[in-house]
Amino acid sequence: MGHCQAKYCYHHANELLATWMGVAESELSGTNHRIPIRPLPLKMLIGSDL
Amino acid sequence: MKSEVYDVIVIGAGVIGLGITFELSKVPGLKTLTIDQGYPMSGTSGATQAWVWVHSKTPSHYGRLSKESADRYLELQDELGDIEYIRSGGVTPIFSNDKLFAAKTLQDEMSKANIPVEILTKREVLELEPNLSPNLIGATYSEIDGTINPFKLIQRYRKQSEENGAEFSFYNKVIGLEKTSFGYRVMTQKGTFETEKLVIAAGLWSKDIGRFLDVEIPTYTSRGQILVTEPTERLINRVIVGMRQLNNGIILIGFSKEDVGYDRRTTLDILQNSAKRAVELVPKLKDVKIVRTFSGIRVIPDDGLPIFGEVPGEENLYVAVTHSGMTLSAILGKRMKELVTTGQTSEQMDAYSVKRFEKRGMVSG
Repeated sequence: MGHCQAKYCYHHANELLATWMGVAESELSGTNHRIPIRPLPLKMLIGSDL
Repeated sequence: MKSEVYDVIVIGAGVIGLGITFELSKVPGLKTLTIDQGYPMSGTSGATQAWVWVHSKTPSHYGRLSKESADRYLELQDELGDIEYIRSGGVTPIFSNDKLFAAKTLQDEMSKANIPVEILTKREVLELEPNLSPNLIGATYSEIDGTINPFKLIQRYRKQSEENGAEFSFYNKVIGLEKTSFGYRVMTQKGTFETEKLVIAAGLWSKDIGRFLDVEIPTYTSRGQILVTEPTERLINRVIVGMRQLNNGIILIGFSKEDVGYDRRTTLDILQNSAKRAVELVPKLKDVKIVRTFSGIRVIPDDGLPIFGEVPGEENLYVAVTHSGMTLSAILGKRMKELVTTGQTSEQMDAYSVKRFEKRGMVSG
């Protein structure tokens, strides 16, 4: 309905995934712009090993 | 457009404007037009967790108004059809003794409006919501809180209003207002309309709309960012402050309030903080996946209370602007119909007049 900030989800998810995996964002493969982007566990979003 | 002259024009087709439009559409012979710069749900009303929340609405008169609205939704379910109004109850977890003390004050205040607020012990909270953190020491709880489906509510407000004869003009920004001998002239991107009575219910934009007529509507904006999880097992049975779980298993999470104007982006720091707080409240959430995020911009009157009523000194000009639009649309729609058609409301609404800001020297005129 016009409120989804998909591109930001995408950016955040990639940033976190890259950090989590210890690689550059450019090394992440198989990504594209769509919803859902990359389902991301809350613990990964927080950035801690809960 | 069928006509350019109306009895009432409503500016704003969010949940408040449409609640008013719906109630006005039931008045036989009343010719109304509702104008919006976007479309229903394109703004704040489409970016909400949609709680119908009562139990912490202080002072007590505000609690009473919220309760009346919650009760009105029970009637609207018959009038509008299924709007998924669920009175699930609401829980505000407490983690410190000073908050426990404040809970007693809240309970006393709400009792003045006959709103049941219970102060639960840790054991009682965990019986109600077993997935909440064992670190809490108690909670306030009220059975009257709940949720609604904002999309169904707004769609049904609009559809029923249209069937009743209300007219709409979407993607049409108001670019000027003038007083006339008849009432008001509304200049828009798509033409000019005349109306005897004018209702400003434009949420965030009400402040700007009011200024066309030199009327100050003191509000500020507050961004809320929301995380949306994948569908998951039932972890939350009621509204837990900051979170609700939908029937399809999705959990909406949001605690943030930011003064960033009209910027609807989401930001990593806020999302992380919200996720952290959610996991602190419900530890099992740590393994639940976030699938998207969104944000909405709240409109908050300067003192937090709704702004409602006829503008003093401006005949036939009305305003309805509030935070908690989902909670209050039902009652504000009903009261605005009363006010517009009879000149008075069935219950006292003076506390919400925009005039209160003049007394505090907050309005420059």
